[in-house]
Amino acid sequence: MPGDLLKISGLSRSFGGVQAVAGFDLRIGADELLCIIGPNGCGKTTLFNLISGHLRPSFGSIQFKGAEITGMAPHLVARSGIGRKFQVPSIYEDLSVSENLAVADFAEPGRKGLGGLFTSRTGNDRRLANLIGLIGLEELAGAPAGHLSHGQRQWLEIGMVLATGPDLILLDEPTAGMTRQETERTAQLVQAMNREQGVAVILIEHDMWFVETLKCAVAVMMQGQVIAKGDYDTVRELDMVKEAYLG
Amino acid sequence: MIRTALSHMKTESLVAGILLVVLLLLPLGASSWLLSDLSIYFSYALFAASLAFVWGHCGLLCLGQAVFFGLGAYAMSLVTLGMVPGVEGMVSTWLGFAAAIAVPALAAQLLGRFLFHAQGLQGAFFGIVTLAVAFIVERLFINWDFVGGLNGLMNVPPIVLGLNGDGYELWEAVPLYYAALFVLVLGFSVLAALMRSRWGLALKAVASHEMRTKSLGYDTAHYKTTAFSIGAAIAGLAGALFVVQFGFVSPSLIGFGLSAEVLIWVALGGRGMLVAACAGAILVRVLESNLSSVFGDTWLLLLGGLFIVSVMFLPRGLVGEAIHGLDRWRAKRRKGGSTPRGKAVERLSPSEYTAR
Repeated sequence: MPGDLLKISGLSRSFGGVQAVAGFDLRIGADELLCIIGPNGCGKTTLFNLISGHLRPSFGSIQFKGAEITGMAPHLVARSGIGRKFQVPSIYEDLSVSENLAVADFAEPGRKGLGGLFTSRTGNDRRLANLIGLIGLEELAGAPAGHLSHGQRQWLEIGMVLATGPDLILLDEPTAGMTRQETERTAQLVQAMNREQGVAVILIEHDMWFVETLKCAVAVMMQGQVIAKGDYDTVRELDMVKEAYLG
Repeated sequence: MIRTALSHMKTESLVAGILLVVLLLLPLGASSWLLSDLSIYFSYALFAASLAFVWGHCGLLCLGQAVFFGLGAYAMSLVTLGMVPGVEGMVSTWLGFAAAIAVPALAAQLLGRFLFHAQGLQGAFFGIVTLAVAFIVERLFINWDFVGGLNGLMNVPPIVLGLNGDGYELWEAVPLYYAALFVLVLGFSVLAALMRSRWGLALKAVASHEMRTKSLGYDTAHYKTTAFSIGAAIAGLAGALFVVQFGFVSPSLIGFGLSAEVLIWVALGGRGMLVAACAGAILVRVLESNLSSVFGDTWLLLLGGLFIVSVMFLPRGLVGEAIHGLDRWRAKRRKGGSTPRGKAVERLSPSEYTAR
């Protein structure tokens, strides 16, 4: 079907004898927001590693914007327009908040290496100022990222991924370890980037309250496969989901 | 107005500026002995700056940086001695400098392709391989008769300003001093400008968290290879600057011994700041020439001890720690006085931030 932003078919990856991802199928439209839930060890993070190029699949194919990206190197996957936020906040602790964003902003001209220094910067400062406002860190622009709280780190990393101008963002447990308030703020941020910036989002989540707040489509993953897909209210009523996950 | 400009300058740049003024004025009062010693040390300082860039800024602990210094020295010598097969008539110092920059850069490019692109070597593994390379290259040059083997190449001409080995020779202490200082400032400025650019920031990001940087779309192997080559080019330039003054090049310039020495200078001075690394190199050399006669064989022990102390207790290095202390003092003083707040996105150093 044309119009699919990301199309995954028959994706499998095994470690030794364990099938972490087993015949996974998924389609995502250009401005969709999808939440993948599932018990620990069901292969969610492996799935992200396969999409972002950090792992090679054993079988199956991943198509992004109609092009095959299966097995491509991580930086090439990122260039094709897939941004990823890692589970453990991954920021540059010894750089300031604005420098963190500047690194992400330079990713595109930086493809030319040193030649990237000769590209024009018009509009970039305003874009970065908007972005730093969106993630709510204006006051801390000059602060070293290592001084940020856990929640602020997560937002900064989301901001960095957004600064590269992706079409699809993979968020790996963005609210892990967050307070209720921070979680709420994160939900707003995710909705803002999905609706206002038109970025498709796939997120892995454990916090059902967060998923409920987002009011998005939910896919339930178990033993490396999607076993159910629908909106939050439909999915939570499924017996197997209740049993396996919601308790 | 000058005062406010000075008080807003980064401490590191301020220190570099002050040192430069002192060095520029030094020939007014110093003996020509000291000047010619210092001009040689300037080549060591530039060499140290190249390692501070590669190690301190890009996180590549290169244990064989002298390979590039030596390659630069040999390239300069072969050109100015008219030993390059096919172009024996070309003995221009300028061509020598070009070769001394290009040859090490190409060697590093080649090595980088293998180490970063093919193998993806990181951290200590990279260090170990560069160490092995230093040993191999040193052996190679000892057994290579064309470049004089163990004896090396003698009677390397000084800098000659003419286009092809003719014209004014830089031989006297004062002109040579200024020429060496000029080359040091030139190489230093190139590195400093690169480090402050967005490209330099990206390199720092590669050093700090490679996986994150890769996932932003950076070809980190390419970045590391380029940085490694630039460091090699500057080290080669330093080697050329050394040999045009020393007049003699031997395999001891290209091996592990000098690689370890430069590592000590940079660690003692401070790998986080170019100026600290340069000052470290000059300081150690000055101390060595004055104290090694007093301490005799214990000098090396003393130097080794200082190195260990600095690695364990002063990760910023002796000079780096001093500059950092000055930075904090200035930030505190500025906070006490009137602080004109800039816009929200102004850049603050971590210490200034803590001080607020």
